[in-house]
Amino acid sequence: MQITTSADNGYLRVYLYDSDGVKLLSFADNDTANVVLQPNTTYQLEYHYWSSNPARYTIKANPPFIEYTEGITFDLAAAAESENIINVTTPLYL
Amino acid sequence: MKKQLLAIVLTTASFSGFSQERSAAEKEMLEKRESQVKAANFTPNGNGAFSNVISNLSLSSELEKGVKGNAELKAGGKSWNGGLSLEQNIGKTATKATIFDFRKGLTPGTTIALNIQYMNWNPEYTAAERRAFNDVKAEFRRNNPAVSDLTADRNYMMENGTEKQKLILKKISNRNPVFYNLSVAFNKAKFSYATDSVSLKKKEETHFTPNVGFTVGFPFSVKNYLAFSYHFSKTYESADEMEFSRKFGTTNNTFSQTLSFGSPEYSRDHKVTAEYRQSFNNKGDTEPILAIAPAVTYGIESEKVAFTLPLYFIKGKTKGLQGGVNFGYLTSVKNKWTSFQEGFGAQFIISAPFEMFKQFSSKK
Repeated sequence: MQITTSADNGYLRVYLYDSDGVKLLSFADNDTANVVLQPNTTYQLEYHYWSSNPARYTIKANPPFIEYTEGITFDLAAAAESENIINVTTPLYL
Repeated sequence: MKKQLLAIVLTTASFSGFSQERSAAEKEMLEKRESQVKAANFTPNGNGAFSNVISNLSLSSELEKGVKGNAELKAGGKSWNGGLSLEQNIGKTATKATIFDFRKGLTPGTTIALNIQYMNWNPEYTAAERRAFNDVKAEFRRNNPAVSDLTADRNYMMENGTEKQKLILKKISNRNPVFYNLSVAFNKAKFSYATDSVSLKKKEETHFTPNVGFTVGFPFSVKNYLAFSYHFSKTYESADEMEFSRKFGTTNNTFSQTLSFGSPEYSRDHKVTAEYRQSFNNKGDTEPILAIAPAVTYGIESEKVAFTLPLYFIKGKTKGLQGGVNFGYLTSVKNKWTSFQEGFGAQFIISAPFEMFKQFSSKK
């Protein structure tokens, strides 16, 4: 499975955890990583973004996570910072 | 992206500045040079100001010094960015800037600058913080089942959560990045002058002068930050230009010659600056309408202190011109402080805004 992050005009940090809270991957700004994940399994994505300008951030998986088939995009028209932990589920077949 | 920057700077007070003390005979020349140095310290892109590490504010270049030709190479990685730039003042009638001559090297009037920025940011939650966040979020979503997992981020829960949930989230540290900026610049300047008023024999000198600066910036949020910087600079300022008229042969005709009288004035200084920047927006709006950048700069060798308070009136995102006013007070701290009347200066600034991170976006 391939996960790609992009940060346009801002900063993005993404961390992927398994259900036991073990960190599997870290991403910084524009990054790509290939990782072997279990099919039909829920993982957690912790993300943080920060920019003092309008910015655009994306997190995409291939094949996509079930909840976010179009990927995750934040299109921010002004300076913004935020953070979150979301659940993502891998497809049935990888 | 090419950015044309314009600024109009109106100075309403006579200035004294960061330069070394000289004899009384050179007082007049010194005053002019001090005025130039002080003006530089008081302008947004002056020696005492920071490079635009993280700011809503644009830098400005003064029209009175002519248009600047600029070429810049940029490179960047995940946590660092850098730029190498060559800049030269272009005269009013010139259509191109000759920055480098293969026979003579760097052309006089050219500044070569290297700027490197490193950003340190590790916002990852600790295991305990992650558990606390997950617990708050689970409770929040039980109470608000219509709110999606993606929408219920820290900001949303801080606005819409219960007081208990907000209290827990506040305890989870919201880590901001720290920026480090190093700039090294060299300017090549050529001076023509005379020291003999009888023969008016022209002398020429060329000087390389360095300007080295280091800044560390601590943002508290995306709207404000505190920065500390150190700058070392050496400068040569030409003496006043004077016009000399002489008789041409035995005719009644005369010819005139304009020359700087006296050798260029050398000065150097180490300056430390503390600066705070804050932008403000109307309630409910996301775009800033006003920004302030109060700063205090201390010249270690010159034993002068400059207090500046620029106010920027920001209209729109990046359209049109930005207006502002800059108040400053420069004083000697060697013996007694300069009177407010003598040390106070005010400038109106009109400049074209550009993106917040002037040279250092994270875009690849």
